[in-house]
Amino acid sequence: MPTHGLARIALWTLSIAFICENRLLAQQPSNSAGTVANSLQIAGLSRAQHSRPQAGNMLALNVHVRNSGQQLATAELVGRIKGQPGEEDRRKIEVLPGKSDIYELDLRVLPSNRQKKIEAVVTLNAIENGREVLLTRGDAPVSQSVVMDLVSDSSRTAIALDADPPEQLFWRWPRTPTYASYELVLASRIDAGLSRVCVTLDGLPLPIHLSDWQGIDVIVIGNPEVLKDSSSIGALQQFMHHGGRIWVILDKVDTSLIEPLLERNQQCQTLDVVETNHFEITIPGSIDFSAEARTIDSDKPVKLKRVVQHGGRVTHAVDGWPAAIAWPVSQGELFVTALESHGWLTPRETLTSVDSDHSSKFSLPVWGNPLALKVHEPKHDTRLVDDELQYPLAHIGNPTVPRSLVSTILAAFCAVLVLIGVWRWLAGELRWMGILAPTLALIASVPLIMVAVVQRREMFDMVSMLQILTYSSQGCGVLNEKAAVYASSSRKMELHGNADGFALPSPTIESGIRSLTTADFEKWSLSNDAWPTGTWRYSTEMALDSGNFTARGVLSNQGLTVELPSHFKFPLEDAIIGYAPGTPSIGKAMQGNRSWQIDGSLPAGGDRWTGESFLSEEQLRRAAIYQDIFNVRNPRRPPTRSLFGWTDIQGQGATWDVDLVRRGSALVSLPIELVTPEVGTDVFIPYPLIRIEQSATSSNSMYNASRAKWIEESSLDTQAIVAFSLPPEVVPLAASKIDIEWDIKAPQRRAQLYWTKGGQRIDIVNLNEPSLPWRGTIENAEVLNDLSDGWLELHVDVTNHQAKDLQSQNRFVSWRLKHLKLSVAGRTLPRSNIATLPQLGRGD
Amino acid sequence: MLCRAALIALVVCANVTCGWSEETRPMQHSWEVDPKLTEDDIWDNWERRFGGERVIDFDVADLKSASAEQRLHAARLICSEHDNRKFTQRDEAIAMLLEQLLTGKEKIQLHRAMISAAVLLCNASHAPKLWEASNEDSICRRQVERALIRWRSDVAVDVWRARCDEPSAPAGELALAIEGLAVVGGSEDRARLDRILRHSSTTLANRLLATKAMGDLISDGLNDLAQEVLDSNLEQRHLLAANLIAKHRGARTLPQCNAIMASDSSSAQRIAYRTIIDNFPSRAREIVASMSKHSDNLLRMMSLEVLRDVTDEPSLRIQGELMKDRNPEVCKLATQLVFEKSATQRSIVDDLITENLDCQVWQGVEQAILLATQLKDHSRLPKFLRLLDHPSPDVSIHAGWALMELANEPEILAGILAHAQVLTGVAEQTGLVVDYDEMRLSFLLESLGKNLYEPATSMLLKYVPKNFKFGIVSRASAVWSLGKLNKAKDNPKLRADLESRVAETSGLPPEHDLIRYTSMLAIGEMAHADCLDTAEKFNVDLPAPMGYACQWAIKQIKAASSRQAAIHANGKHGIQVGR
Repeated sequence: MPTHGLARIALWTLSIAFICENRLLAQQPSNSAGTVANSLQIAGLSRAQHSRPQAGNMLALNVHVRNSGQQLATAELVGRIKGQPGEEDRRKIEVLPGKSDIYELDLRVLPSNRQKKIEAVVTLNAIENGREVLLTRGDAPVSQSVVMDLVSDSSRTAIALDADPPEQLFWRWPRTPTYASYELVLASRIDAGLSRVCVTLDGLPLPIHLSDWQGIDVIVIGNPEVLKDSSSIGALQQFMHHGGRIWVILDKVDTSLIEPLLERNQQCQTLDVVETNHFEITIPGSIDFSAEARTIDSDKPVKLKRVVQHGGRVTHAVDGWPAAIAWPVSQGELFVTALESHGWLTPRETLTSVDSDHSSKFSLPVWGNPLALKVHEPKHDTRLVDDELQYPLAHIGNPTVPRSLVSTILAAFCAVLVLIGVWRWLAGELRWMGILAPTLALIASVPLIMVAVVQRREMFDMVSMLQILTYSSQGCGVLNEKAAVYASSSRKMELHGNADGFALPSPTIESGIRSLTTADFEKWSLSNDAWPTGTWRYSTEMALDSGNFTARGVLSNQGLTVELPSHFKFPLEDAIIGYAPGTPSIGKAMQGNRSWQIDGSLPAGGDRWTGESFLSEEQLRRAAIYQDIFNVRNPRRPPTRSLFGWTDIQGQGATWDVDLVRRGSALVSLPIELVTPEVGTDVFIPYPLIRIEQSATSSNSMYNASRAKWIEESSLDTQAIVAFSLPPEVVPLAASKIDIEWDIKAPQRRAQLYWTKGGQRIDIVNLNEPSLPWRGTIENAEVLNDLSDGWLELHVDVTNHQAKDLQSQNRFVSWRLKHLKLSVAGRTLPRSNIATLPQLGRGD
Repeated sequence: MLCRAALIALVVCANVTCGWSEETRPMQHSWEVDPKLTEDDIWDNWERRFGGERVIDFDVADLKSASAEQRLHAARLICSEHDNRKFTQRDEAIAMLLEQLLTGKEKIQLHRAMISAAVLLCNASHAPKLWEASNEDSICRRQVERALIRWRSDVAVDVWRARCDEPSAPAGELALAIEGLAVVGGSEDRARLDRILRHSSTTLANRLLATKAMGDLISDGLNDLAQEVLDSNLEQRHLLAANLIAKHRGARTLPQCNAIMASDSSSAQRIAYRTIIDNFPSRAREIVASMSKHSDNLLRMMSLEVLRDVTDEPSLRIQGELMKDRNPEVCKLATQLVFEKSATQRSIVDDLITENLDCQVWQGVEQAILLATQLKDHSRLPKFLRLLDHPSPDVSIHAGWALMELANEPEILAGILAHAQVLTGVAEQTGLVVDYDEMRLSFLLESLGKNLYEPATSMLLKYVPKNFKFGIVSRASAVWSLGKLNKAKDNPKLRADLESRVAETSGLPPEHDLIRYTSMLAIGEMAHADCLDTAEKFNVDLPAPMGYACQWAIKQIKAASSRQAAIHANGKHGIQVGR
C-alpha cells in the first residue's frame, strides 16, 4: 500500500510539472503574436452590476476589451481569483478592428474561501494559428485586476424600476412627488433590518444566465419595459424556480405583463384605478393593528389599482380590494403591491442608524412591516439533496460477488457433505470421507474462484451520476448532476454543456488547471489537461426549457390519480407523491408506471419508499435519497404538489469528450396540477392532500407548519387548534364522512380531540393515557357542514388531570404526537347558484 | 376603460382650454416670462437638459452574426430601445428578425428575445408570421397573443374559440382567448362566453372578462342574462351585470342600471353610470347630486361631466362644492366649469368664490384664488393679503402669486411690502425661511418690482449680495424687481453689484446661475453702455438661459446707446428728445 501511494504521488507530481511546463511554454509571448499583441488591450475591468462576490457563488466580471488594430482579433479572456490555484475561467472573444466591447466573465469563488477581500485577475491570450499566446505590453502581460470585499449580507435586493421623473426646477410649486417606488424599496429594506444597498438594474436588460441570479434574493420591478422582453420572463421564471422572490410594484406596470410570471391556475386582472385620500388598510387574518394605525389620510390622493386575483393570498386590502398579494410560484414567490408606492410610506420619525447605508427618509407604517420582512427574507434553499451525496460514489467500481450466490454454494456444499456422510455411515465405510470431503470442497471452491476472477478484472473509466430534473408548472426546469468520475490514469478531458448553466469540479481536486470556458451563448466546457487518477466529483447545473411537464391530478371516489403528461416519454419508477407538506405517499402504479393512485393506504417514510416487497440495491440507494428529501429535520422546505420518480439517465446533461461508461439514474420531479372536478362528483380526499395550517385565531404549538413537523416531546399541558385545509379545487364540498387517524403517546395524560363553534362543542374522542393509534370517523352534520368551505379547525388538548400546578406537571414523563390525519369523502357542490350550460365540444 | 378615456379627454380639454393667457400660467414667476426672450419656453428646455433619449450603440446586422451571444445582445437591445426615436433601423430589424425566426432554429432564450423584439417593432401586417413563429413556446405565444389583441388581428381566432370551449384551459390562457374574442369575435361567440360565465371552475377574472366581451360584442338582448346574474350569488354580480348591459339602450336597461347604482360596488357603478349618462341623460341628472358626493373620484368626475352644460344655480352650486374636492383633477375640473359659466352667472360665481375663500378645506381656498385671479377680480386683493398667513402653504403661496398677478394699488402694495419685510427680517436673523415661505416671498418681491414700488428698494437691495440666509428664488425675484425699478436709470453702485454677481463664477460656492441670470436681466433693464463688456464676456451658447439673458441685455444696451447717440447727435443740431 505505501508503495502504491508513493507511486501515485510521484505520477501526479510528474503530470502537474509536465502540464505547468506546457502551459508556461504556451503562454510565452511570441514574435508571431506581435500584430494582435499591439492591437488588443483590456480597457477596463469591473464587477458586473448584478453580481455578488460571495463564497460559493459565481462572480461575474465585465471586461472591456478594445481592438485598435486593422484586423479581426480572436483571443481568450482568462480570469483567476488569487488564492484559488488551479481554477480559471475562460471566454473566447472576437473583436472587430477599431471596435471595443464588454464581455462578461464568470469566476467561481470557492465555498472554502474565507478571505475578507478577493482579487480577480484577468489576462488576455491571443489565439494564433490554433496556438494560445499570452499577450504582453512591454514585458508585462496584458492584464487587469480588481479587488472587492466578499459580502455576507443576509438578503440582496435587485431593483429594475422606472426611470427617475424629470428633475423639477427648484422654484416650481407644487413640488413633484418623491420618487416613491425607489423610496419604498429602501424603506422596506431598512425596516427589514437590512442596508439600503441594492443591485441597480434600471435601464438595463435583466441578466438571463442561471449563475447571474445566484446572489440575488429578491428583485423589485417597477418598470414595465423589463417585462416586455420574453427572455427576461424566462430568466425570472427560472429565478423563482430557484426560490427567488419577485416584487412587482403596479404603479406603472400593467397586470397583463405579470401574467406570464404566474402559474397556470393563478391570475391577476386589473379592473380600474381609484384615487382616494382617506382609507383604511385591512390585513386579512391579523388583528395586530388598531383601526387608528391602519387609517391613512393623505392630502395627495393615493391610487389603488383595483385587481381581481386567483390563487394568491391577499396580505393587505383597502375597502375589500387587494393592496398587496402574494402568490407561491414554483419554489419562489411573486408579490404585487396594487396600492401606489407613496401610500406605503410615512416620513421616518426616528433615525435607525447614523450609518447612511442603514437609514432612509421614509419608513413603512406598522401595518406595512410584515410585508417588508416577508419580501426581504433570504431565498430558501431549493436543492433537493446535498452536494456531498454518496449516490454517485456508490456506482463506482464493480459489483461485489452477491452474498446470495456465496451462501447458495456454501449451503449446497454442506448439504452434499451431510448426504455423503450419511450415505457412507449407512454403508459402514466412513473412511472414504477423508477423500470425498476434500474433493467436494475443491469442487465447491471452483465457482467461487471463477466468480472472484471475473470480479477482479480491471475497472473501466466511468462516470456515475445522479441526475435531478425538477420542472415547474410554468414550463421551465433545471437539471442538476451530482457526478463522480473514476479515471484509471491522469488524463485530459473536457465536459461539454449545450444549455445555460455551468459545471463545478470538486474543490478537493488539485491537479492540473480546471478551466470553465464559455465559447458562445449557452455553450461552455469544463476542461483540465490532467484530471486526477482515481475517483473525483463534479456537479453541473443547467436550465431546461423542454416544455411544460405538469402531472395531472384527478380526484374520484377512489382517491387521487396522478397521470404523467402525455409528452413526457419516460415511465417513472418508484414514484412518490408529495402534495401536502410532510405527507409523502407511495403511488400505486397503473398503466405501466404512467399513472398512480393515492388513497392514503401507502404512506412513505422510514425505510419504506416503494410498493415492492423485494428491493434491489439501487432501490435501497434511491430510498436513502427519498429519506433525505422528505426528512422533516432537514432545513430545506418539504416538497409540495410534486410527483417524484426515477428514470434512466437522460440525454440533456453535459457530456464528456472521451468514452466513459455512464451509470446512475435520474430523479425527476414534476409539479402536480389538480383538476377541478365537475359539480356533483363524489370524491375521496386522502390525508396526503389535506394541508395542516395555522389557525387564524390561535397559534398552534403542536405543529410546525413550515417544517410539516408534529411536536416530538413535551411535558407541559398543551391546547392547540389544528386547522385542516382541503385543496381549493374541491371546494365547496358536501362532506359525507371524515376519517381520522390519531397517533399520540401521552402517558399519565388525557388527550382530547373536539370540535367547537358558536358555543357548541362536539367531542370526537377522549383518550386516557393513549399509547396506540386511534382511528375513528366523524359523521356529525355540524362538523361536516363546517368543512364545506374547505377549512376545519379541531381542538386538541393534552392535559395532566392529576397534576395541580406547572411544577408538578414537569415532573411527569413527556408526551409526543406522531400524527393527526384526516381523510374526507364527499360530493362537490356548485360555486354559485347560476344555472350552468352543458359544455360543447370543439367546433360547436 | 371607456369611462376613464372619456374623462381623461375631458380633463385634458379642461387643462388646454382653462382660460389662462399665454403669458400667465399659474404659479409662474415674473422673471420666467418678462422679458419674453424666445418663442420657446427656455425653462422647460432647461428642465429637460439632462433628459433625452439614449444613444443607439448597436447594429441590427448583429442579428445575423455567427455568434449567438451577439444575436441575443442585439435582440435584447432592440427590446430596450424599440421606442427610442434615434433607433432608425426599424425596417431592417423587422426583416432580419422575421427571417431569423422563420428560418433559423435558435435556442429558446434567443428565440424569445427575437420574438419580443419583433412584437415591439411590428404591426398587424406581420401578425401571421409572428403567430407562426411563436407557437412552440408558451411565453412567446402569450406575448404574440397580447399583440394580436392590440392589433385586432384575427389570426388566432380559431385557437381562441377552441380554448374557450375547453373547460380545463389554464386561467391565464383562457383570459387571453376571451380578450381576443372581445375584439375579433362576433355574436356567434355569445354561447361560448355565456358558458364560461356559468362554468363552476371559471375564475372571477375570467367571468368579468367574459361579461365584458359579451357587453362589447352585443349591444342588445343581454338583459335576461344580466338579470339572472343580478339574482345570483356570484361574486361581483353587480359588476358582471354592468359589463353585460354597458351598451344597452332598451327599456329594461335603466331599472337594471338603477339596481347596480344601488349596490355598494363602485366599479359596477362606474360602468352603470356611464351607461346611464350615454343612454338615459335625464336619469343621469336626477342622481348627479348624490354622485357628486360619492367616495369614488371617477364618479365625481362623471357628475361634473353631466353638469358641464348645465347653468342653473343648484347645478352651479354642486360644481362650486366640488371645487373643494381633495382630488386635484376633480377640483380643477370643477373650477374650470365654474369659470366657463362666469360669463352668464357671474353673481353666483362670485358667491362661490366668496364661500370657497372662507372654507376650511384648503383645496377650496386654493381653487377660489385661482378662479378669482382668472377672472381678474381685484376686489379680492385684501382677502388675498390676509390669506398670506393661511396655515396651508398651498393657499399662502397661491395668495402670494395672485397678489403678484393682480396687485396694483398703493394700499395693497404697502401691505405686501409689510409682509415681505417681516419675512426678510426673519431670514436676516435666523436664515430659516422654509421653502414655502420663500416661494410666497418671491412672488411678493416680484409684485413690488412689477408695480415699480419705490419704497421697496432698500429692502430689495439686501438680496443682491451673496447671503446664504436668503433663498435663491427670493434673491432672484428681488434682483429682477430691482431691474424693473431701475429701468434705464444710471445706478453705478447697483450696476457694479450686479456685474459682480454675474462675474462670480469661481467663488466657493460660485454665484447661483439663476441669480446670474436675473442680474443680467436687470443689467439689460438698466441698459448702461458700461455693462456691454460684461454682457458680452459672459454670453454663452444657446439654449442656456444665461445665453438668452446676455443676448437680450446686449440688445438693450446697444439700443440704449443708439438712442443716446441719436440724442447726442440731435442735441448738436439743437433738437431735444425726451426719453
